[in-house]
Amino acid sequence: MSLIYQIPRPALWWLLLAQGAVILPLMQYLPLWLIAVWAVCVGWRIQVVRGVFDAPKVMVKVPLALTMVVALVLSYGKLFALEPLVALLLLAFLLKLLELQSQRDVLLLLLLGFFVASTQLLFSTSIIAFLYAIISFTFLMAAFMALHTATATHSFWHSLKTSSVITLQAIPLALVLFFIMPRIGSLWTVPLSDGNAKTGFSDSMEPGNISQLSKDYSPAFRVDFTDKKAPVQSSLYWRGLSLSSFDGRRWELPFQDRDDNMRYRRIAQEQRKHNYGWQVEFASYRRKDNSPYIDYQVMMEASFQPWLFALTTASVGAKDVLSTPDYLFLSKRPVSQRFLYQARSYPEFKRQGQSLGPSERYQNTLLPSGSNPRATALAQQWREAGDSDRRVIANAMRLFQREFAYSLQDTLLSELNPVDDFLFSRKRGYCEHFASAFVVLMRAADIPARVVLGYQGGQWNEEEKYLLVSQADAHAWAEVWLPEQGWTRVDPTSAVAPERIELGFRDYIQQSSTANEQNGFAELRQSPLLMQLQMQLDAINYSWQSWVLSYDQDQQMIFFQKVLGGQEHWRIVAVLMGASTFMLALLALWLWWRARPEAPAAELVPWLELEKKLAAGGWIREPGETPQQFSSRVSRQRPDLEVLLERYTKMAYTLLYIPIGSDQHQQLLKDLAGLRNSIRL
Amino acid sequence: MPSGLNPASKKNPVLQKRDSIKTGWLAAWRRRVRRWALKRRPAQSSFVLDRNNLFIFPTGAGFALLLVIFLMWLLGTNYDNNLVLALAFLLASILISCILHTHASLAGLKIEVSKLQEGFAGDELGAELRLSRQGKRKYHDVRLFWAGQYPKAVTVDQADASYVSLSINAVRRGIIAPPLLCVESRYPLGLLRCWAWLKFDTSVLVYPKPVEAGPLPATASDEGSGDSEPVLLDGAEDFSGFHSYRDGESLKHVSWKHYAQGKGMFVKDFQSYADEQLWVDWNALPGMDREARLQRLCDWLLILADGSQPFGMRLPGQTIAPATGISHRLNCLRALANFEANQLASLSSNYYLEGKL
Repeated sequence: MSLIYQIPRPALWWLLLAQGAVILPLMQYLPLWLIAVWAVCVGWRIQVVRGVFDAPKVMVKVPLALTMVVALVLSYGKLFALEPLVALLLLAFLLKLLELQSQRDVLLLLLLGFFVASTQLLFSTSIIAFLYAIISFTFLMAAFMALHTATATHSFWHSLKTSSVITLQAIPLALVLFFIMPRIGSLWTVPLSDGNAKTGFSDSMEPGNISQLSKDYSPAFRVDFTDKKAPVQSSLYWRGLSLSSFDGRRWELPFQDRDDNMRYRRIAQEQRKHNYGWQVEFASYRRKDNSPYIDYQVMMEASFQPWLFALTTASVGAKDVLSTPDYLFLSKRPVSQRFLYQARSYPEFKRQGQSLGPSERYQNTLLPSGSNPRATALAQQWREAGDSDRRVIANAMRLFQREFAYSLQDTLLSELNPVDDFLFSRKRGYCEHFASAFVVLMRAADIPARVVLGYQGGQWNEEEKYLLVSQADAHAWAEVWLPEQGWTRVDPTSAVAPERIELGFRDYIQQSSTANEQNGFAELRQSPLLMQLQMQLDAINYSWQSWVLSYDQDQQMIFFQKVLGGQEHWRIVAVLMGASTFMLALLALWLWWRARPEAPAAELVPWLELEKKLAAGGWIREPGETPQQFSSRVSRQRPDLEVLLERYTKMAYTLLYIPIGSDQHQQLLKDLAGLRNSIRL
Repeated sequence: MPSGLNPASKKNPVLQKRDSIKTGWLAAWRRRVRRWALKRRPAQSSFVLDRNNLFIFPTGAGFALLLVIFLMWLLGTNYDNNLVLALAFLLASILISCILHTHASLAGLKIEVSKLQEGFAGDELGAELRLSRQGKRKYHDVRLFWAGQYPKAVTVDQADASYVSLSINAVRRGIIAPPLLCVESRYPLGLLRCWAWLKFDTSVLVYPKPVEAGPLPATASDEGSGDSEPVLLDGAEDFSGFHSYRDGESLKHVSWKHYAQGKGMFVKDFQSYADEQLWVDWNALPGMDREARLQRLCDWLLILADGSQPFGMRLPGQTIAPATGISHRLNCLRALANFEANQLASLSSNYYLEGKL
């Protein structure tokens, strides 16, 4: 009954529960030792509550906090990136537990909790993460409620129940706000995640690092074609980056391009001066009416790489994205969260009458001297036979087709001359082996060639009409320079396993014959049911992305145009007010309904009816007066009513002891009504 | 300021009373609002809380949450993160819908003063409130306090009514009304505070505060302060009769003879004492002002009422015949409380707002 000025005990338990809920998902992205810090803080707090320990003194708290901050900075090596900042915030959220004296401290902690709980969505934007955040909000609200409730008459779970109800009721209005509150776009640049968990391939290629991805069915990106038609699988070469520097084993970016920031700056600088030759030609090609093109929209998952993916030869519309001299697309900053861009590809675009610059030719024909001598010798042999470039390419392809097998089995190639080892003894491998060997052969034959990394194919979702490209679709192929048509794609894998290219990786794995069991595909095979399920889940994810995650300023404008019929300010304000009022009115209605007068117990109804009748005559039952006392009081003033009232009271009492619904009960009710009517005031 | 978060009350809530005179523009503004509310609403014997008497405003926690919402909005906007924005909107929506929830946590509650106990000036008088609900809703965590006092929290979940015992300060002798009653609720989340200031038209009688006045003057008592053993004269003319025993009467005059015969418990009345009676006499205290005299008379009265001898009271224009017993004591106390009560200063608006004169 009395007010509690200290922190109510249930509030503390709720606080700890809510804190645990908030911390849990963040542990996927932040150092795990923070859990230990939390455990210590919780333990200490509980001991303080039990009266075993004293609250930590300043002499303990300050050094402890400083140590933690230093440990964080050391473990990250820097402070101004997303992870260290969030970790710092989380640390404050945990350490504040040592300093809980008043309700105000708890309040501060809870408010911080809302903020910390929402930071997990900077790392993951899945539906699950979002629902989880809402649940942790509900826990925080339960703690809020326990903190502000002074009466201890409720069960422990009462606050969770009530806060869940409040949250659910707040959702309609939140939806209105979400869709109608104007978006204004970033106000200032913020530290982004630097992604210690890079996904997909890296910016170099070594034998083995793409085949690793074949087990990874997580999405790389999803493509929404404007015409909503399933594209031809074999045409879907999603170019990402090209590698032209080779050390005998490993393919890399040219030396001067290995630093992301420098590369971006160099290309941006070059483009400020002049457009690349291909860009000029491409621009005039695009202006032609009859140039066939494909329009699509790519929703990319965070890759923590700067490369964007597009079909050849594309123009990409997005902020801070450059086209490189190699027809690739480079984002200013690594893609650290889902990223949406529009692209238009002209598959038939070819450059006319051009030549490769000397430095580019040098770069793309360079082989480390002395490495892979047998492969070099083979290519030179073809060349010396007087074959044209095309013949040499055909020779290489025929070689692969005849003698090689497509396999996921880990092939350990010799350290010294891996390409020789692959070409002349192993003869089985994955796309990266073929691409690498092919480019080495071409270069040895003095044909400029390079390795291209990207994705091939994808899975068409028939229901939602989009293409899902997953990490398993990662692919490596080659591009060679042909004087008459410029850089031309050649995929040696298509010579070895044409079905891989025609069906797409997943279907190929599903359909490949038992003869290929030894190739390591069998273990990747999934039950059709599971695959179906995965596709459906992905479709949900896709709707989530296109409806919720990518609802930005532009989409909002389209929404206003479609739903509100315009984008004028008054319209937006009117709809916002109208819809909010409507939602609140529904809530008010519910609250009113909850407070409606209670129906009196059925057996009391006749008596209450009589009271109502007597009240009209000026007799009102005093609080505490029994029906008998009341009726005899009335009878004293109105002796003429005495007999009637006495009978009525007696019958009304009798009614209490007769089961409701029985015949006797019905009869008695009827009699009472008759008696009541005969009372004339 | 929410009492629970009041920094003054944080350390030792029991010893530190609410400061009635708070400085600062916020307190001044709050007083103005209350004064305005006081003028606006007439005194009533019962109130049903509704739109007409309820106020609602965010608490410190509510404003702090608003700040958090703003920060979350900034976070979501700068990171182009729709989910963080959605959470910010969800919190905003919760804050807004709490306006309705908090208002509903008081609306429809009926409040009346069910009992006010008389008492001495300076004491705390018991004041019992009756809270009843009009509909199905239970009222959680309703906080009640008279102006200038600490709140008490109750849950009104009984079908008919819940009773809360509070106390008011008897600020002076005479007839006083309780100060304003504040009914407030922060239910469910403590983000908003809904409250009403109610002025009840009930009043209560306050006796003078007893102030020690020394022994009864000789004129008032022949035998000192009346604690000497009375002389019982069997068959003397002083004996005037019997009356039946009343609870609380001294056992000294009980006729044990009758009691032993099983005729019941009777008390002997002695007429002879009437002449040498004890009087609580206004004139025994010359040269004092009215209130000082009343306070001392009250002290004597209490001493005599504890004894067994009959005593009377003489006030200018009013004499209460000597008697004993509880009702006699009450009559005398009420006479003191009412004495020239109409000449007492009426209660100021400050009293209603602060609970102090």
